[in-house]
Amino acid sequence: MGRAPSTAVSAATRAGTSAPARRATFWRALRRNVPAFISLVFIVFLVVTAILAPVIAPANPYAMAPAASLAPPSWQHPFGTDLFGRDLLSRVIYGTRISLLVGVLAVAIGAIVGSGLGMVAGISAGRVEQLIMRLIDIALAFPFILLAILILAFFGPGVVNVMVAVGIAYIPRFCRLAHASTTSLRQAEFVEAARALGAGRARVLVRHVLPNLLQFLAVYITFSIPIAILIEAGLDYLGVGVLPPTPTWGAIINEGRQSLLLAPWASIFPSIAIMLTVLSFNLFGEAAAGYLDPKAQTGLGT
Amino acid sequence: MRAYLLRRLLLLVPLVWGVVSIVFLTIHLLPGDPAAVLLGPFATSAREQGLRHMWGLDRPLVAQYVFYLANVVTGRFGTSFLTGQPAGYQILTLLPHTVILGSAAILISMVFGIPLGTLAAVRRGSAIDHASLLASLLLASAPNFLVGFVLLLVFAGKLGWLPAIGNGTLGQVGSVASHTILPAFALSAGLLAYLTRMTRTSLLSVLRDDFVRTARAKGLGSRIVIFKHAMRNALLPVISILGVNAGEVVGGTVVIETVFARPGIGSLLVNSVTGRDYVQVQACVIVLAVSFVIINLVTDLSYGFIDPRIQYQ
Repeated sequence: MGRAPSTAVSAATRAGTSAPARRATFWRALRRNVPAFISLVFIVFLVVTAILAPVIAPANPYAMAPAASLAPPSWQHPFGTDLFGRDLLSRVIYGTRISLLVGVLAVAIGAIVGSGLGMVAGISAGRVEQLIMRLIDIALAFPFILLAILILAFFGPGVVNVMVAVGIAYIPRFCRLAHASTTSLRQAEFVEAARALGAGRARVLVRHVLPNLLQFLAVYITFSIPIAILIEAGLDYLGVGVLPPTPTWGAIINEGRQSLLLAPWASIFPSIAIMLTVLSFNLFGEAAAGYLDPKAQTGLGT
Repeated sequence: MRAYLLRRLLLLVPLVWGVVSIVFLTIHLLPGDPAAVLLGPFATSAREQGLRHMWGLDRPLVAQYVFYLANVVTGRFGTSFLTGQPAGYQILTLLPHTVILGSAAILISMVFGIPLGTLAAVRRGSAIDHASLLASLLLASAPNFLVGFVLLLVFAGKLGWLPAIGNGTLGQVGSVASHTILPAFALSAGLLAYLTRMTRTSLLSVLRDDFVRTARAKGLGSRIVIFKHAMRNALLPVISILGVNAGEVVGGTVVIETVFARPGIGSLLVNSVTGRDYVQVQACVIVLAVSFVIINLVTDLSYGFIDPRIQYQ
């Protein structure tokens, strides 16, 4: 989780080319990086699966059929069935929806609120900055999952609560990233020029700081989504996350655990789904980080 | 150095005070009255009133706050709803087990991760390099409870080498060790994978540096170049990665202790959340957050011992 990209200024000065041209070169670099390209294809596949879940899923993920309990994988049930005879392929497909939704929306909450706070702190210096950053220091004293559990302990389980809890746990992390980048941009010449021309703080933030921050946020977001998905699965496992019978990958693995020796498929398929998803986001994030900062050492690449 | 240490320790005070205050406030964020939430819709108002009185919720907020701070300072943490005893009692009996688990996990990630990463860097492109890349990619993508299941299933179930659940008896080294190995490995998985990759990346980049070329050019053997010259420099970013991420081990104990049915602060936290024992939840969260802060401080300070160039002021 400690992979904050380096200072924003260097990239801001480096990226002299126009945005569309940069996008084109990123696309070309991506096509040369085979694992990252496959990862992106898989992420697109996941998104399509999540959107089209009701169309693709062969069965109702909630429909129980005691007669078909713990059926092994077959043509009728490609992933087999669970203890209640529910079709696991359908449950894993619907699970994609919730896992992705929680992952993406939680990170969105953290990114929007957190980087907003961080930018305000970074640009306003003085007492406001001190106040915000001291509060963030306190929030960062809680390990990630602990902050989420603390919030869920008082608000109870459920999809929306998990999303909000994980999102809140992300706020201090995004805030610190945005704050660090904003303070380094605060002294950049183009920001000083804008201030000299009479631009107010809000205008400087939106027109000058934010565009230079976006690419770093994008990389951090790509690395944060898989972590949010893992945390969500962990919360489901602990029984404080999404409640049964809602199909989420973490919950399906956990339900399958009770019959693990009889029917290992019940846990294996959602496990593969989680691992492939996390792997794809990490490999894609790696490529994006490497493209923005070729000297970045993230440890996963070769 | 001593002045720096003192200042860092003093800075802990406002941080811990902030943590305690946030945790104190959470119970007041509950939608509605905690006593009513806990006792359910069929409780008599006398029982609710009794519970409110027991928790001190019928007193003014400032008085509650002062009382809570005093309770934390004395280590009582208020009265647990489930046991009727001060929440600090359970913490005290369980803390050693969680400390053992956490330290074992951090130790494992270093003892295995750094040599493995070194080997992968030195034998770049070999089978070992590829195998370690694959293993760390898999470990980094798996939820930690899943790693726990697999270890449990293979080493405690199929092979029967190690006990599956529990803590072992404190004081008996063999018993504690055999009960700790599996959960500690499961807990270290993510960090182990990350350290392996970081050691490899860092060592490879140092091996390209000029001073390494000089050392080689003056005829030093590759063993001396790698271990005496390159490793020292390569380990610095690895230690800082360890520092940033070791604290997450604290969060991981919550999940891993539950997987291995291992009594500890983490599993106590989960049980208290499901049992709606808010006072115990608060106590566990405070203790875990404070240990997280302490781990971060210790790793911060350890840079100075590893890199003599760092001057503390």
